Amino acid sequence: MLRGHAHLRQGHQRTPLALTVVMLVLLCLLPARWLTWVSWFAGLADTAIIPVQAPVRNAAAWLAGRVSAGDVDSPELAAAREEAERSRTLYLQTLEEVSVLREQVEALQSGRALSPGLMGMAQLVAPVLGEQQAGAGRVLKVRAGRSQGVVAGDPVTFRGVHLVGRVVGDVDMHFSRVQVITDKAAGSAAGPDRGRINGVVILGETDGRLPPDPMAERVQCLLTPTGDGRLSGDVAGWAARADRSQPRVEVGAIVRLSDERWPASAQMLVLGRVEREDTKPNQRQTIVVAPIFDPAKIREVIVRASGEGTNGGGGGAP
Amino acid sequence: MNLLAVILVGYVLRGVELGLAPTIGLGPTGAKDIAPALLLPLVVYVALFAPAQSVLWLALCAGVVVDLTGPMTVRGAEAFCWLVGPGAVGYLVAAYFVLTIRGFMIKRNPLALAVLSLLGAALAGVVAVAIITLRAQFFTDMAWRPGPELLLRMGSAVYTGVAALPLSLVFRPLTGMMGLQDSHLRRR
Repeated sequence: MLRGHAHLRQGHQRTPLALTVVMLVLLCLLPARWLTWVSWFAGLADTAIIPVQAPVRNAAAWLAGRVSAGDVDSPELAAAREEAERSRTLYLQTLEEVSVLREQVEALQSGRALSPGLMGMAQLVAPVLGEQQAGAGRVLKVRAGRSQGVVAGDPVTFRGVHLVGRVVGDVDMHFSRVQVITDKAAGSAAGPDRGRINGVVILGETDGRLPPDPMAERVQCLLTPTGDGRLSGDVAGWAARADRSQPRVEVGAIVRLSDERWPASAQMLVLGRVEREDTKPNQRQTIVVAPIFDPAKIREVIVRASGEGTNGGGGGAP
Repeated sequence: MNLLAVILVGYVLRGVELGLAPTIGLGPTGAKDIAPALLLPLVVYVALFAPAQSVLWLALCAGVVVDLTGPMTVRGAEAFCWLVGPGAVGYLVAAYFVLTIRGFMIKRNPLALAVLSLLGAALAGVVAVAIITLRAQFFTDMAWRPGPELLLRMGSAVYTGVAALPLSLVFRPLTGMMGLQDSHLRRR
Protein backbone atom coordinates (compact mmCIF):
# COMPACT_ATOMS: atom_id res chain seq x y z
CA MET A 1 0.00 0.00 0.00
CA LEU A 2 2.78 2.36 1.06
CA ARG A 3 4.82 1.36 -1.96
CA GLY A 4 1.81 2.07 -4.17
CA HIS A 5 1.57 5.56 -2.69
CA ALA A 6 5.29 6.15 -3.22
CA HIS A 7 4.99 5.12 -6.89
CA LEU A 8 1.99 7.39 -7.29
CA ARG A 9 3.86 10.32 -5.73
CA GLN A 10 6.91 9.63 -7.89
CA GLY A 11 4.69 9.55 -10.97
CA HIS A 12 3.21 12.92 -10.00
CA GLN A 13 6.70 14.34 -9.46
CA ARG A 14 7.87 13.16 -12.86
CA THR A 15 4.96 14.60 -14.83
CA PRO A 16 6.41 18.17 -15.00
CA LEU A 17 9.78 16.70 -16.01
CA ALA A 18 8.22 14.64 -18.80
CA LEU A 19 6.27 17.67 -19.98
CA THR A 20 9.46 19.77 -20.00
CA VAL A 21 11.26 17.13 -22.06
CA VAL A 22 8.41 16.95 -24.56
CA MET A 23 8.37 20.75 -24.76
CA LEU A 24 12.13 20.89 -25.36
CA VAL A 25 11.99 18.24 -28.08
CA LEU A 26 9.14 20.12 -29.76
CA LEU A 27 11.06 23.38 -29.39
CA CYS A 28 14.06 22.07 -31.26
CA LEU A 29 11.84 20.73 -34.02
CA LEU A 30 10.81 24.31 -34.89
CA PRO A 31 12.32 26.17 -37.86
CA ALA A 32 15.37 28.31 -37.07
CA ARG A 33 13.55 31.57 -37.82
CA TRP A 34 11.11 30.87 -34.97
CA LEU A 35 13.94 30.39 -32.50
CA THR A 36 15.58 33.80 -32.73
CA TRP A 37 14.20 34.76 -29.29
CA VAL A 38 16.44 32.09 -27.74
CA SER A 39 19.45 34.25 -28.69
CA TRP A 40 18.51 36.65 -25.86
CA PHE A 41 18.88 33.87 -23.28
CA ALA A 42 22.05 32.69 -25.03
CA GLY A 43 23.44 36.22 -24.78
CA LEU A 44 22.77 36.17 -21.05
CA ALA A 45 24.42 32.77 -20.68
CA ASP A 46 27.43 33.99 -22.68
CA THR A 47 27.78 37.12 -20.62
CA ALA A 48 27.58 35.09 -17.44
CA ILE A 49 30.17 32.54 -18.54
CA ILE A 50 32.75 35.00 -19.90
CA PRO A 51 34.30 35.95 -16.50
CA VAL A 52 35.45 32.33 -16.12
CA GLN A 53 35.95 31.43 -19.77
CA ALA A 54 38.16 34.34 -20.87
CA PRO A 55 40.84 34.16 -18.14
CA VAL A 56 41.00 30.37 -18.43
CA ARG A 57 41.41 30.61 -22.21
CA ASN A 58 44.18 33.20 -21.97
CA ALA A 59 45.96 31.39 -19.14
CA ALA A 60 45.80 28.09 -21.03
CA ALA A 61 47.14 29.69 -24.22
CA TRP A 62 49.92 31.35 -22.24
CA LEU A 63 50.81 28.15 -20.41
CA ALA A 64 50.89 26.18 -23.63
CA GLY A 65 53.31 28.73 -25.04
CA ARG A 66 50.81 29.55 -27.70
CA VAL A 67 50.63 33.29 -27.14
CA SER A 68 49.04 35.02 -30.10
CA ALA A 69 52.06 35.28 -32.37
CA GLY A 70 53.56 31.91 -31.64
CA ASP A 71 56.77 32.94 -33.51
CA VAL A 72 60.34 32.89 -32.27
CA ASP A 73 61.47 36.24 -33.72
CA SER A 74 62.88 38.89 -31.43
CA PRO A 75 60.35 41.63 -30.57
CA GLU A 76 62.16 44.15 -32.83
CA LEU A 77 62.25 41.79 -35.80
CA ALA A 78 58.64 40.81 -35.26
CA ALA A 79 57.63 44.50 -35.14
CA ALA A 80 59.60 45.24 -38.31
CA ARG A 81 57.99 42.29 -40.13
CA GLU A 82 54.58 43.42 -38.99
CA GLU A 83 55.23 46.97 -40.16
CA ALA A 84 56.46 45.74 -43.54
CA GLU A 85 53.41 43.53 -43.96
CA ARG A 86 51.12 46.42 -43.01
CA SER A 87 52.80 48.71 -45.54
CA ARG A 88 52.50 46.07 -48.26
CA THR A 89 48.83 45.58 -47.49
CA LEU A 90 48.22 49.33 -47.48
CA TYR A 91 49.97 49.65 -50.81
CA LEU A 92 47.92 46.85 -52.32
CA GLN A 93 44.74 48.31 -50.85
CA THR A 94 45.60 51.63 -52.44
CA LEU A 95 46.11 49.96 -55.78
CA GLU A 96 42.86 48.09 -55.37
CA GLU A 97 41.13 51.32 -54.39
CA VAL A 98 42.52 53.08 -57.46
CA SER A 99 41.23 50.25 -59.56
CA VAL A 100 37.82 50.49 -57.86
CA LEU A 101 37.79 54.27 -58.31
CA ARG A 102 38.49 53.85 -62.00
CA GLU A 103 35.57 51.47 -62.22
CA GLN A 104 33.43 53.92 -60.25
CA VAL A 105 34.30 56.71 -62.63
CA GLU A 106 33.24 54.47 -65.46
CA ALA A 107 30.14 53.52 -63.50
CA LEU A 108 29.34 57.16 -62.82
CA GLN A 109 29.71 57.93 -66.48
CA SER A 110 27.25 55.22 -67.34
CA GLY A 111 24.96 56.25 -64.49
CA ARG A 112 25.40 53.19 -62.26
CA ALA A 113 25.26 53.25 -58.47
CA LEU A 114 28.40 53.61 -56.42
CA SER A 115 29.63 51.00 -54.02
CA PRO A 116 30.46 52.09 -50.47
CA GLY A 117 34.13 52.79 -49.79
CA LEU A 118 36.34 52.79 -46.77
CA MET A 119 35.17 56.15 -45.40
CA GLY A 120 33.74 56.22 -41.89
CA MET A 121 35.34 52.96 -40.84
CA ALA A 122 36.75 52.59 -37.31
CA GLN A 123 39.34 50.03 -36.28
CA LEU A 124 38.60 48.60 -32.86
CA VAL A 125 41.04 46.52 -30.88
CA ALA A 126 38.95 43.76 -29.35
CA PRO A 127 40.09 40.98 -27.01
CA VAL A 128 38.95 37.48 -27.91
CA LEU A 129 36.77 36.28 -25.06
CA GLY A 130 36.32 32.73 -26.17
CA GLU A 131 35.34 30.28 -28.81
CA GLN A 132 32.13 28.45 -29.41
CA GLN A 133 31.29 25.37 -31.36
CA ALA A 134 28.75 26.39 -33.99
CA GLY A 135 27.43 23.34 -35.77
CA ALA A 136 30.07 22.33 -38.28
CA GLY A 137 32.43 25.17 -37.40
CA ARG A 138 33.68 27.55 -34.74
CA VAL A 139 33.00 31.15 -33.88
CA LEU A 140 35.04 33.61 -31.84
CA LYS A 141 33.43 35.83 -29.24
CA VAL A 142 35.08 39.26 -29.23
CA ARG A 143 34.60 42.24 -26.91
CA ALA A 144 33.35 44.79 -29.45
CA GLY A 145 29.66 45.31 -29.95
CA ARG A 146 26.88 47.49 -31.15
CA SER A 147 27.86 50.26 -28.73
CA GLN A 148 31.12 50.67 -30.64
CA GLY A 149 29.53 50.64 -34.07
CA VAL A 150 30.05 46.98 -34.92
CA VAL A 151 27.46 45.60 -37.31
CA ALA A 152 26.98 42.20 -38.92
CA GLY A 153 29.29 41.76 -41.89
CA ASP A 154 32.18 43.85 -40.54
CA PRO A 155 35.56 42.26 -41.28
CA VAL A 156 37.80 41.20 -38.43
CA THR A 157 41.58 41.06 -38.73
CA PHE A 158 44.60 40.01 -36.75
CA ARG A 159 47.37 42.63 -36.59
CA GLY A 160 45.39 44.65 -39.12
CA VAL A 161 46.36 42.59 -42.16
CA HIS A 162 45.42 38.97 -41.59
CA LEU A 163 41.74 38.35 -42.21
CA VAL A 164 40.24 36.36 -39.35
CA GLY A 165 36.60 36.44 -40.47
CA ARG A 166 33.55 38.60 -40.21
CA VAL A 167 30.94 39.53 -37.68
CA VAL A 168 27.78 37.46 -38.03
CA GLY A 169 24.39 37.14 -36.41
CA ASP A 170 22.85 39.49 -33.89
CA VAL A 171 25.47 41.86 -32.51
CA ASP A 172 25.22 42.27 -28.75
CA MET A 173 25.65 45.67 -27.11
CA HIS A 174 29.17 44.87 -25.88
CA PHE A 175 30.33 41.79 -27.77
CA SER A 176 29.91 40.11 -31.12
CA ARG A 177 30.49 36.76 -32.77
CA VAL A 178 32.99 36.29 -35.56
CA GLN A 179 32.67 33.56 -38.13
CA VAL A 180 36.20 32.46 -38.91
CA ILE A 181 37.17 32.60 -42.59
CA THR A 182 37.96 28.86 -42.59
CA ASP A 183 34.53 27.98 -41.20
CA LYS A 184 32.45 25.80 -43.50
CA ALA A 185 29.75 28.47 -43.68
CA ALA A 186 32.14 31.39 -44.23
CA GLY A 187 31.79 31.69 -48.01
CA SER A 188 29.15 33.58 -49.90
CA ALA A 189 25.62 32.91 -48.74
CA ALA A 190 23.96 32.60 -52.09
CA GLY A 191 24.51 32.48 -55.82
CA PRO A 192 26.49 30.09 -58.02
CA ASP A 193 29.62 30.59 -55.87
CA ARG A 194 27.80 29.72 -52.65
CA GLY A 195 30.23 28.72 -49.95
CA ARG A 196 33.22 30.06 -51.89
CA ILE A 197 35.68 32.88 -51.36
CA ASN A 198 37.54 34.69 -54.13
CA GLY A 199 41.22 35.12 -53.46
CA VAL A 200 44.22 36.40 -55.38
CA VAL A 201 47.87 35.47 -55.39
CA ILE A 202 50.33 38.11 -56.54
CA LEU A 203 53.01 36.16 -58.35
CA GLY A 204 56.46 37.24 -57.32
CA GLU A 205 55.34 38.47 -53.91
CA THR A 206 57.82 37.16 -51.42
CA ASP A 207 58.35 38.04 -47.76
CA GLY A 208 58.80 41.78 -47.71
CA ARG A 209 58.75 42.41 -51.46
CA LEU A 210 56.20 42.97 -54.21
CA PRO A 211 56.75 42.70 -57.97
CA PRO A 212 57.05 46.03 -59.91
CA ASP A 213 53.49 45.83 -61.23
CA PRO A 214 51.52 43.82 -58.66
CA MET A 215 48.14 44.39 -60.27
CA ALA A 216 49.30 42.73 -63.49
CA GLU A 217 50.63 39.72 -61.59
CA ARG A 218 47.36 38.86 -59.86
CA VAL A 219 46.15 35.31 -60.22
CA GLN A 220 42.60 34.52 -59.16
CA CYS A 221 41.59 31.50 -57.16
CA LEU A 222 38.21 30.30 -55.96
CA LEU A 223 38.53 28.86 -52.47
CA THR A 224 36.24 26.76 -50.31
CA PRO A 225 36.67 26.14 -46.56
CA THR A 226 37.59 22.49 -46.08
CA GLY A 227 36.41 22.26 -42.47
CA ASP A 228 39.85 21.46 -41.05
CA GLY A 229 41.01 25.04 -40.68
CA ARG A 230 42.10 25.46 -44.28
CA LEU A 231 40.78 26.67 -47.63
CA SER A 232 41.22 24.85 -50.90
CA GLY A 233 40.28 25.43 -54.50
CA ASP A 234 41.28 25.91 -58.11
CA VAL A 235 43.61 28.52 -59.50
CA ALA A 236 41.31 30.25 -61.99
CA GLY A 237 43.75 32.26 -64.11
CA TRP A 238 45.14 35.76 -64.57
CA ALA A 239 42.95 38.48 -63.09
CA ALA A 240 43.98 41.37 -65.33
CA ARG A 241 45.62 39.83 -68.38
CA ALA A 242 44.31 38.56 -71.66
CA ASP A 243 47.03 35.93 -71.40
CA ARG A 244 45.50 32.45 -71.66
CA SER A 245 48.50 30.63 -70.24
CA GLN A 246 47.98 28.79 -66.95
CA PRO A 247 49.84 30.60 -64.17
CA ARG A 248 51.57 28.42 -61.53
CA VAL A 249 51.24 29.29 -57.89
CA GLU A 250 54.10 28.18 -55.70
CA VAL A 251 53.91 26.67 -52.23
CA GLY A 252 54.42 29.48 -49.69
CA ALA A 253 52.72 32.15 -51.83
CA ILE A 254 50.54 34.63 -49.94
CA VAL A 255 46.81 34.53 -50.78
CA ARG A 256 44.72 37.67 -50.32
CA LEU A 257 41.00 38.34 -50.39
CA SER A 258 39.57 39.88 -53.53
CA ASP A 259 35.87 39.23 -53.28
CA GLU A 260 33.27 41.86 -54.04
CA ARG A 261 30.81 40.17 -51.66
CA TRP A 262 33.04 41.25 -48.78
CA PRO A 263 33.26 44.89 -47.66
CA ALA A 264 35.83 47.18 -49.33
CA SER A 265 37.77 47.34 -46.06
CA ALA A 266 38.43 43.60 -46.26
CA GLN A 267 39.87 43.55 -49.76
CA MET A 268 43.52 42.49 -50.15
CA LEU A 269 43.75 41.31 -46.56
CA VAL A 270 45.83 38.17 -46.14
CA LEU A 271 43.87 34.89 -46.15
CA GLY A 272 46.91 32.71 -45.65
CA ARG A 273 49.78 30.96 -47.31
CA VAL A 274 49.70 28.19 -49.94
CA GLU A 275 50.50 25.02 -48.04
CA ARG A 276 50.13 22.46 -50.85
CA GLU A 277 49.55 22.53 -54.56
CA ASP A 278 48.49 19.87 -56.99
CA THR A 279 47.50 19.52 -60.62
CA LYS A 280 44.19 18.01 -61.68
CA PRO A 281 43.92 15.67 -64.69
CA ASN A 282 42.60 18.66 -66.70
CA GLN A 283 45.90 20.45 -65.91
CA ARG A 284 44.18 22.94 -63.64
CA GLN A 285 46.17 23.72 -60.51
CA THR A 286 44.57 23.31 -57.09
CA ILE A 287 45.92 24.86 -53.91
CA VAL A 288 45.41 24.40 -50.18
CA VAL A 289 45.70 27.60 -48.18
CA ALA A 290 46.37 27.67 -44.44
CA PRO A 291 45.97 30.84 -42.33
CA ILE A 292 49.31 32.21 -41.17
CA PHE A 293 47.96 32.60 -37.66
CA ASP A 294 45.73 29.95 -36.13
CA PRO A 295 42.48 31.63 -34.94
CA ALA A 296 42.54 29.37 -31.85
CA LYS A 297 45.73 31.09 -30.66
CA ILE A 298 44.70 34.66 -31.27
CA ARG A 299 44.02 36.71 -28.14
CA GLU A 300 43.20 40.04 -29.73
CA VAL A 301 41.66 41.05 -33.04
CA ILE A 302 40.93 44.30 -34.85
CA VAL A 303 37.33 44.83 -35.91
CA ARG A 304 36.82 47.17 -38.85
CA ALA A 305 33.55 48.64 -37.65
CA SER A 306 31.41 50.33 -40.25
CA GLY A 307 28.47 51.39 -38.08
CA GLU A 308 28.14 54.29 -35.68
CA GLY A 309 28.86 53.60 -32.02
CA THR A 310 26.99 55.06 -29.08
CA ASN A 311 30.02 55.60 -26.85
CA GLY A 312 32.09 57.75 -29.13
CA GLY A 313 34.21 55.15 -30.89
CA GLY A 314 36.26 52.37 -29.42
CA GLY A 315 39.82 51.29 -29.02
CA GLY A 316 41.06 53.25 -32.01
CA ALA A 317 43.36 52.18 -34.77
CA PRO A 318 46.49 50.34 -33.70
CA MET B 1 22.03 18.32 -1.99
CA ASN B 2 23.26 21.90 -1.69
CA LEU B 3 21.90 23.26 -4.97
CA LEU B 4 23.73 26.58 -4.76
CA ALA B 5 27.12 24.88 -4.33
CA VAL B 6 26.41 22.48 -7.21
CA ILE B 7 25.39 25.39 -9.47
CA LEU B 8 28.55 27.30 -8.53
CA VAL B 9 30.79 24.32 -9.27
CA GLY B 10 28.89 23.71 -12.53
CA TYR B 11 29.27 27.34 -13.59
CA VAL B 12 33.03 27.26 -13.03
CA LEU B 13 33.35 23.91 -14.80
CA ARG B 14 31.42 25.09 -17.88
CA GLY B 15 33.59 28.23 -18.06
CA VAL B 16 36.76 26.17 -17.72
CA GLU B 17 35.45 23.70 -20.32
CA LEU B 18 34.85 26.46 -22.89
CA GLY B 19 38.08 28.23 -22.01
CA LEU B 20 40.26 25.14 -22.27
CA ALA B 21 38.68 23.67 -25.41
CA PRO B 22 40.86 25.61 -27.92
CA THR B 23 44.04 24.58 -26.09
CA ILE B 24 43.41 20.98 -25.10
CA GLY B 25 40.98 20.14 -27.90
CA LEU B 26 42.10 17.49 -30.37
CA GLY B 27 41.73 17.55 -34.12
CA PRO B 28 43.27 19.26 -37.12
CA THR B 29 44.41 22.90 -36.97
CA GLY B 30 41.53 25.29 -36.47
CA ALA B 31 39.02 22.52 -35.89
CA LYS B 32 39.81 21.25 -32.40
CA ASP B 33 36.36 19.83 -31.94
CA ILE B 34 37.20 16.82 -29.78
CA ALA B 35 37.20 18.42 -26.36
CA PRO B 36 36.19 17.06 -22.97
CA ALA B 37 32.85 18.01 -21.41
CA LEU B 38 33.61 18.95 -17.80
CA LEU B 39 30.05 19.69 -16.80
CA LEU B 40 28.89 16.16 -17.54
CA PRO B 41 31.18 14.47 -14.97
CA LEU B 42 29.66 16.80 -12.36
CA VAL B 43 26.16 15.70 -13.37
CA VAL B 44 27.33 12.08 -13.19
CA TYR B 45 28.94 12.65 -9.79
CA VAL B 46 25.81 14.26 -8.40
CA ALA B 47 23.75 11.43 -9.92
CA LEU B 48 25.81 8.92 -7.95
CA PHE B 49 24.75 10.44 -4.63
CA ALA B 50 21.74 12.75 -4.84
CA PRO B 51 17.99 11.94 -4.93
CA ALA B 52 16.76 10.89 -8.37
CA GLN B 53 14.27 13.71 -8.91
CA SER B 54 16.80 16.46 -8.12
CA VAL B 55 19.39 14.80 -10.34
CA LEU B 56 17.05 14.65 -13.33
CA TRP B 57 16.15 18.35 -13.05
CA LEU B 58 19.78 19.30 -12.54
CA ALA B 59 20.82 17.31 -15.64
CA LEU B 60 18.10 18.99 -17.68
CA CYS B 61 19.23 22.46 -16.58
CA ALA B 62 22.90 21.64 -17.21
CA GLY B 63 21.97 20.46 -20.70
CA VAL B 64 20.05 23.69 -21.35
CA VAL B 65 23.18 25.68 -20.36
CA VAL B 66 25.25 23.56 -22.75
CA ASP B 67 22.71 24.20 -25.53
CA LEU B 68 22.64 27.96 -24.85
CA THR B 69 26.42 28.27 -24.97
CA GLY B 70 26.80 26.29 -28.22
CA PRO B 71 25.06 27.87 -31.22
CA MET B 72 24.44 26.20 -34.57
CA THR B 73 25.16 27.83 -37.91
CA VAL B 74 22.07 28.70 -39.92
CA ARG B 75 22.72 27.75 -43.51
CA GLY B 76 22.95 30.66 -45.91
CA ALA B 77 21.77 33.22 -43.36
CA GLU B 78 25.21 34.02 -41.92
CA ALA B 79 23.63 33.85 -38.51
CA PHE B 80 23.39 31.51 -35.57
CA CYS B 81 20.55 29.72 -33.94
CA TRP B 82 20.41 28.12 -30.52
CA LEU B 83 18.67 24.76 -30.37
CA VAL B 84 17.59 24.25 -26.79
CA GLY B 85 16.78 20.60 -26.33
CA PRO B 86 19.34 18.20 -27.80
CA GLY B 87 21.91 18.75 -25.05
CA ALA B 88 19.28 18.98 -22.34
CA VAL B 89 17.60 15.70 -23.28
CA GLY B 90 21.03 14.11 -23.83
CA TYR B 91 22.18 15.06 -20.33
CA LEU B 92 18.87 13.88 -18.91
CA VAL B 93 19.27 10.46 -20.51
CA ALA B 94 22.86 10.27 -19.27
CA ALA B 95 21.72 11.10 -15.72
CA TYR B 96 18.91 8.54 -15.90
CA PHE B 97 21.42 5.93 -17.01
CA VAL B 98 23.65 6.69 -14.01
CA LEU B 99 20.66 6.60 -11.65
CA THR B 100 19.76 3.17 -13.02
CA ILE B 101 23.14 1.60 -12.40
CA ARG B 102 24.48 3.58 -9.43
CA GLY B 103 23.55 0.79 -7.04
CA PHE B 104 26.12 -1.48 -8.68
CA MET B 105 28.98 1.02 -8.63
CA ILE B 106 31.73 1.66 -6.09
CA LYS B 107 30.94 5.35 -5.91
CA ARG B 108 34.17 6.50 -4.28
CA ASN B 109 36.35 4.86 -6.94
CA PRO B 110 37.63 7.47 -9.46
CA LEU B 111 37.35 4.83 -12.19
CA ALA B 112 33.59 4.63 -11.60
CA LEU B 113 33.23 8.34 -12.40
CA ALA B 114 35.50 7.99 -15.43
CA VAL B 115 33.61 5.03 -16.89
CA LEU B 116 30.18 6.49 -16.15
CA SER B 117 31.22 9.86 -17.60
CA LEU B 118 32.46 8.18 -20.75
CA LEU B 119 29.24 6.18 -21.16
CA GLY B 120 27.08 9.14 -20.15
CA ALA B 121 28.78 11.48 -22.62
CA ALA B 122 28.44 8.86 -25.37
CA LEU B 123 24.73 8.46 -24.58
CA ALA B 124 24.19 12.22 -24.46
CA GLY B 125 26.00 12.56 -27.77
CA VAL B 126 23.91 9.86 -29.45
CA VAL B 127 20.67 11.40 -28.17
CA ALA B 128 21.64 14.94 -29.24
CA VAL B 129 22.74 13.78 -32.70
CA ALA B 130 19.53 11.75 -33.06
CA ILE B 131 17.33 14.75 -32.18
CA ILE B 132 19.14 17.15 -34.50
CA THR B 133 19.18 14.55 -37.28
CA LEU B 134 15.45 14.07 -36.83
CA ARG B 135 15.06 17.84 -37.09
CA ALA B 136 17.24 17.88 -40.22
CA GLN B 137 14.69 15.58 -41.90
CA PHE B 138 12.14 18.42 -41.78
CA PHE B 139 14.33 21.51 -42.01
CA THR B 140 17.56 21.97 -43.93
CA ASP B 141 18.23 25.41 -42.47
CA MET B 142 21.25 24.41 -40.40
CA ALA B 143 24.65 23.10 -41.36
CA TRP B 144 24.45 19.50 -40.07
CA ARG B 145 26.38 16.33 -40.91
CA PRO B 146 25.30 13.52 -38.56
CA GLY B 147 28.09 11.02 -39.35
CA PRO B 148 31.13 13.21 -38.62
CA GLU B 149 29.25 14.85 -35.73
CA LEU B 150 28.60 11.47 -34.10
CA LEU B 151 32.26 10.53 -34.50
CA LEU B 152 33.32 13.84 -32.93
CA ARG B 153 30.97 13.30 -30.01
CA MET B 154 32.24 9.77 -29.45
CA GLY B 155 35.79 11.14 -29.44
CA SER B 156 34.71 13.81 -26.97
CA ALA B 157 33.06 11.11 -24.82
CA VAL B 158 36.35 9.23 -24.54
CA TYR B 159 38.14 12.49 -23.71
CA THR B 160 35.44 13.26 -21.11
CA GLY B 161 36.06 9.87 -19.49
CA VAL B 162 39.78 10.62 -19.29
CA ALA B 163 39.14 14.11 -17.90
CA ALA B 164 36.78 12.67 -15.28
CA LEU B 165 39.68 10.87 -13.56
CA PRO B 166 41.41 14.03 -12.28
CA LEU B 167 37.99 15.64 -11.79
CA SER B 168 37.04 12.91 -9.35
CA LEU B 169 39.94 14.08 -7.17
CA VAL B 170 38.54 17.61 -7.35
CA PHE B 171 35.00 16.50 -6.55
CA ARG B 172 35.91 14.37 -3.56
CA PRO B 173 36.81 17.25 -1.19
CA LEU B 174 33.77 19.18 -2.51
CA THR B 175 31.36 16.34 -1.73
CA GLY B 176 30.50 17.72 1.70
CA MET B 177 30.14 21.27 0.43
CA MET B 178 27.75 20.10 -2.30
CA GLY B 179 25.74 18.24 0.31
CA LEU B 180 26.25 14.86 -1.32
CA GLN B 181 26.41 11.79 0.84
CA ASP B 182 26.67 8.12 0.13
CA SER B 183 23.40 6.66 1.37
CA HIS B 184 25.11 3.43 2.51
CA LEU B 185 27.67 5.35 4.54
CA ARG B 186 24.95 7.55 6.00
CA ARG B 187 22.94 4.54 7.19
CA ARG B 188 25.95 3.26 9.11
